[in-house]
Amino acid sequence: MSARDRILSRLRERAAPAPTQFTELDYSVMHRPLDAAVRKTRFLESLRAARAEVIETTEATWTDALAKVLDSREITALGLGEIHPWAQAARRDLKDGRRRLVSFASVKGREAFERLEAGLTSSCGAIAETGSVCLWPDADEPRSLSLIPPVHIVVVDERHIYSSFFELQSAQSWHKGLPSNALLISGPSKTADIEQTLVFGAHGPKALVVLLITRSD
Amino acid sequence: MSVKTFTPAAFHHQSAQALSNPQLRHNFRGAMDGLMAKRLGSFDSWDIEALRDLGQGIRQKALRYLPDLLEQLEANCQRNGITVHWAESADDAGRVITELCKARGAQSVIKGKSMVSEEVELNARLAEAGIEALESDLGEYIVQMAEETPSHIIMPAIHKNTADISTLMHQRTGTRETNDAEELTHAARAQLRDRFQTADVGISGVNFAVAETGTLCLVENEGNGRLTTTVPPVHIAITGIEKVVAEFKDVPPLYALLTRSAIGQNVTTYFNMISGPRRGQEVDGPEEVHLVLVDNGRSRMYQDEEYAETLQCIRCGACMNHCPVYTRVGGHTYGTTYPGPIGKILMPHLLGLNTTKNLPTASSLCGACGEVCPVRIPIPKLLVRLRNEAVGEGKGNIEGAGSARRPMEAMGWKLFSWLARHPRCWRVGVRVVQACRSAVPKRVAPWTDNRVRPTPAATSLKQQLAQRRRS
Ligand code: SF4
Repeated sequence: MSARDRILSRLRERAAPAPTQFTELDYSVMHRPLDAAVRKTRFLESLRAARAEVIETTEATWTDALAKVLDSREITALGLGEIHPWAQAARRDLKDGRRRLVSFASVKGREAFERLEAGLTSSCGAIAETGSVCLWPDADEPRSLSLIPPVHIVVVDERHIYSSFFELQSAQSWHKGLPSNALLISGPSKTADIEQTLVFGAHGPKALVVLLITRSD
Repeated sequence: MSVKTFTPAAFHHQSAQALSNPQLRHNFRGAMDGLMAKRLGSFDSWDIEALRDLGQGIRQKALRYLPDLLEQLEANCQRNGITVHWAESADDAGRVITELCKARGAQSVIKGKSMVSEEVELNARLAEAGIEALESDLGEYIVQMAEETPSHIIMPAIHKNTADISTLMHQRTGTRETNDAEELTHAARAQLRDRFQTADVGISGVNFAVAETGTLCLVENEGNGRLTTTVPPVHIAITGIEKVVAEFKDVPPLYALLTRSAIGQNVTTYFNMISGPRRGQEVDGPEEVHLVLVDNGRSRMYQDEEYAETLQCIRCGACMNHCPVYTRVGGHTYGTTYPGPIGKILMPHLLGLNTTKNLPTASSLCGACGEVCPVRIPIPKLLVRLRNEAVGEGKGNIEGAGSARRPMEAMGWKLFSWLARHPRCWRVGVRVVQACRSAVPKRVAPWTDNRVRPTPAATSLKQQLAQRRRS
């Protein structure tokens, strides 16, 4: 018998009385819906409390906001995708030669660690209650893009802010299957491992910049 | 005293040492007070009792169907491209992981935080095979540098203050001495940056393993966990068999409970959900992902419905943060991987009561641990049960049952129990004791070390009542 079979058979041997059907659990405490307007404010507040920089902008002007962020942080090498619509718009509007636009797929290993000053990604949703941004990395916007460069810039559409994690995963039917890696990101990396002193910039990005696309309709 | 010499059997000696170290007591007291206040604040907008009910229900449901869920988890992980391994003991777990590393010709391993890897002493086992394992969580990095073990399951280096850490990092890595936690943190970041790139294998723990989707969830703030599970070509996740949950919708409630109970945060910086190695055209992420499911005594605990409740634990550490004993003696005193209340109810099962029989007695049974436990594990009840098993007749459902039994004490209680059921003899006994009142010796160690000498009353309560009725 393999270790697997021995463990499983020990678990099945349990002498405990066979349970009658387990009663359905009550998840109502997780239903905490917020109005659209409240969702946006809560999202902004929570992220700012976690020391993220949040910039409200619009679909028409967001690349200007991005350019300003890059300038103010003196970023000259930006990693970004090629296919994602936000990445395409950024590539179109930032073509002034002031900075290098690098697709992550073209930089490998050590280079990625050393050359990129910021990574731009899209998001697949956001959470108001906790100020979280949800990412589903893929071939175009790989996992490292939001992880290795010291600054992570992420575009969030106001329409995709959900009240809670519970609401987000149920609305998007996560139970049907997930990508190889899915992430919730709620600020720049941090630690309090040295005498409980909160320090930002542990091993992940030292800064998180959220460009929030607001909608007037 | 080096931490490596801490053992659960020497609990009394170790606690005396810890209690006479004011700096250590100060470090723990300060940290625990802060954590308790933050936890309370973080549940402000919640119906905390309803949320705990749900958390308990989710964990009980998972345990109820544990074998089926493990099979479902295995099948869904495999479908996602994750290879699943089973380890019956700590030795097995060490062997499986060492072999996986060897198969890749690995020489260096980078590790995210994992208490199960501490439990099976993975770093030492890898070292025997000539593989260097480096801890990347800042607290673990510090503890490893000091050649110690974690003193808290969430904050491994909580026993050290900034000055201790500065001196240590200066001695071991040449970091400039400073009292600035930020400077030290950034120095550690710089020191580890290269190591993520050059590591052959990344090893992490798991907070929740979702059977329904074959997903491994990791909770962290630093980003070291993400780097560990993203950059090296191989990712090995190690976890106890109890960490499984049935459905994805079980994750948000447990996550909400975990971060608030542990550190009083509404959320952590990262919630990392891994459902397989890189797919299709993806350019990063590990090429191989392995999940090692560790039993190491858990399936035995599972046999007993009451003990099995221990397996509901989500390792938040709230029970230790609120424990008056833990706060005073600190984590190392327990001499076990998991300290504090959860350690006291878990370690006797993993190590047997022979060496751990003192642990369940290190409690005032104040009940704080049970009151804060997010999944409502009845810790005080389990402590009492373990005490009984330790002094019982040895028939208990645990290794080492009866190992704390002392024949004289057992006889004494038997005699008492017999007397209490035979009123006439009892009355005679009371008179005899009263007659010999003054014969109680001046020193009855260890009682009189800290307390006054006990003397039986001249008249018993019953006698006094009888007198009163007569007069
Ligand atoms: S026993 Fe309860 S309070 Fe203690 S670590 Fe486990 S879940 Fe947290």
